[in-house]
Amino acid sequence: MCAALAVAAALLGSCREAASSKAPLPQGAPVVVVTLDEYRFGLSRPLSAGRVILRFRNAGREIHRPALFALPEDLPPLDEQLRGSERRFIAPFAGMSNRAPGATGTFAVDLVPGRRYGLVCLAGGPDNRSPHAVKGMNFEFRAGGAEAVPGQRSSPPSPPEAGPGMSEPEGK
Amino acid sequence: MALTTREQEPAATTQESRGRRPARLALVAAMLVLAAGVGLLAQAALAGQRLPAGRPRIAPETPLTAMDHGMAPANNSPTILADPTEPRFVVLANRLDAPDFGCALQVSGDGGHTWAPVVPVPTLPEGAEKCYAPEVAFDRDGLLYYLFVGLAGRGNEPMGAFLTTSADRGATFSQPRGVLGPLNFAVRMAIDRGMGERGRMHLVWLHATSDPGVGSFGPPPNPVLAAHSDDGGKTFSEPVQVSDRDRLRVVAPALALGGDHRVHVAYYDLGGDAVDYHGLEGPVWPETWSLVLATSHDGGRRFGPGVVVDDEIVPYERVMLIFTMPPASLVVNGTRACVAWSDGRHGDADVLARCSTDRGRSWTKAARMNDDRLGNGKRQFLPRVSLSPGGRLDAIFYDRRIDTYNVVNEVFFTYSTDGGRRFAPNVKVSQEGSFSRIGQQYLTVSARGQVEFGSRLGLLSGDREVVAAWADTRNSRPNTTGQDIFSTVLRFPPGAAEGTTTKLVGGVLVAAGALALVAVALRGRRGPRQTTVSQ
Repeated sequence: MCAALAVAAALLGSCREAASSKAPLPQGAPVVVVTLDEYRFGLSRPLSAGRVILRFRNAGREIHRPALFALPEDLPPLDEQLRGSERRFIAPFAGMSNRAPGATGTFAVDLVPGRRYGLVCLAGGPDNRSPHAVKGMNFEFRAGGAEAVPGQRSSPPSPPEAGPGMSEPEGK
Repeated sequence: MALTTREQEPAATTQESRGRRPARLALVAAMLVLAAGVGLLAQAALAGQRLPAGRPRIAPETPLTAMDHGMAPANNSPTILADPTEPRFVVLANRLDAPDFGCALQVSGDGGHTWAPVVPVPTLPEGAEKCYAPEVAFDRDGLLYYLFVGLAGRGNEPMGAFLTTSADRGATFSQPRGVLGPLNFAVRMAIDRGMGERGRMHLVWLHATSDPGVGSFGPPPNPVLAAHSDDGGKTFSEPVQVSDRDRLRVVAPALALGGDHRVHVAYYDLGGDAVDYHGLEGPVWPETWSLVLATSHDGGRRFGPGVVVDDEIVPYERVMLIFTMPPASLVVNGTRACVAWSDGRHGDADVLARCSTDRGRSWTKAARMNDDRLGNGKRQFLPRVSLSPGGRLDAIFYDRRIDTYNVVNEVFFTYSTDGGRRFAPNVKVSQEGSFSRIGQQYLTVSARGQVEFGSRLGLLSGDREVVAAWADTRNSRPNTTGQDIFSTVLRFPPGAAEGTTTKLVGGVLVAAGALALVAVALRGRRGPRQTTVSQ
């Protein structure tokens, strides 16, 4: 009887222990290193949907100031918008202060799957009259899309990459 | 025939005798040196004559919460905890003060180096409109408990405290279950994993006996209460009073568990400070507060009279909201306890600490943890202390020493290896400052001119690595409420900054080893007592 109880207790114990130990350890949010240079962005990997950590490093000789914009679907292509005579005002939803040469900075964002975004440098150049954005420091992408690295063409949005348990960016 | 021993033999020649004398002298000298060394080691460990030169390396910071300039979410008040069954699994819970009250949870699978968000409360319990002020705890099997206060109504009144659990490391959570009714504030949770079949869950909270006003308590008493559960939070014991009955204005409880199932609760006694207690108009309270520790020696069934840890605490600003007043930071390991708080006794806000080695009965003198010039007008506040397994006492706090205008918060770290008597030179942890005027502001008169930066910082101490987390506004826009949680990992070089326990154990091992060597040397020198036969 005692032996049976002991076996049952051992089984119960092992089942309870298994409850948490079988779950995989969570993976951290992907980190994308963005190199700032005159006048381009260099990304270490594509920008996926969900939580993404952007780490910026100013590898250039000028001050840079990166900012991220959520672009409306009806907005003309970002480069066209920046160079055009008619401009719509859009406020950045993430960004940082000026980064001197050699300086770093970081922020995290929740990117909505398939949504249009623009990464833009808001610095104005040494004379403060030639925005880096029109000199080439603008980059449009869709979160999770194959074009989410500079220099690649746009393509239809990819399925969301957010795994189980990731927060719903829409609810933020 | 005669039996003699070699010692009895008159065979030792003058030459042999000359050879043994220096050996004997050398042995005595070696023993003296060893004894002196062990003595010095013990002195260093016990009296803190010397702090190790170890200076932690600081990893690049990681933002844990997502920016959104439009919504400007105010993430603050992080707390960090590791799974006892898998120390690589670490969780960080924090609250949000804007754009509306809320709560969040981040999880890490690599000891706090990288993080991912999870949703601990996908659906609010009935009647609750907002989730607020989360607490986390693990049971002995690694089941994660997430406790939060439900807010409802225009006044954001606490309508109850709720508990939800995750058995799969944050991937899913159970439906929240109510554990406390309305009008309970500052609810803290801890689990005594060594008690009972599943561990004993302790809750401590501040109970309002009448409807509180906006940002203020009604007439006292509004005591600190405690209850415990032995079935994972399904049922709880009848609440017992923690705070002394003759202390009327008690606030901001902090909960920590000690050895032998002791339950410690630190709280502030505001004494005659009705201005802050009731959120009235007026200047900073000109008198002192007390910090009191109440202890239960029977697993939370009843609490003894409070021991005054410090009764000369000088407030340096108004309490913004009495319900969210930052508690003192309390940490307990076995019979050791340390508590830290912000204090204006030296003319500006400093972070002070006291420790006890006798279960909280007596306390060391208040030690100033920040090492900037005394009375320089620069503010240090919101300390968080943590004990490493080896006994090192770590601390982080907000610090404005670098800013001429005393408005930019940096985060500094220090540690003590002598039980909180002396602290190592402070190390700046944050790589960028945070403008402290960015955050939520309240309309109550007590909060006039103040900005909410949270009620706590996050700190998790291992022997080699320390994870620190704080609210940060480096990337936020001025005149908004945006606050992010940032974290970093501090790593000590091998062998540095070991705690008192580690040193003492090391000292004992060295002493034992030395004695063993001496004994072996003596035996070797004498040789075995051999019997010779002379005919």
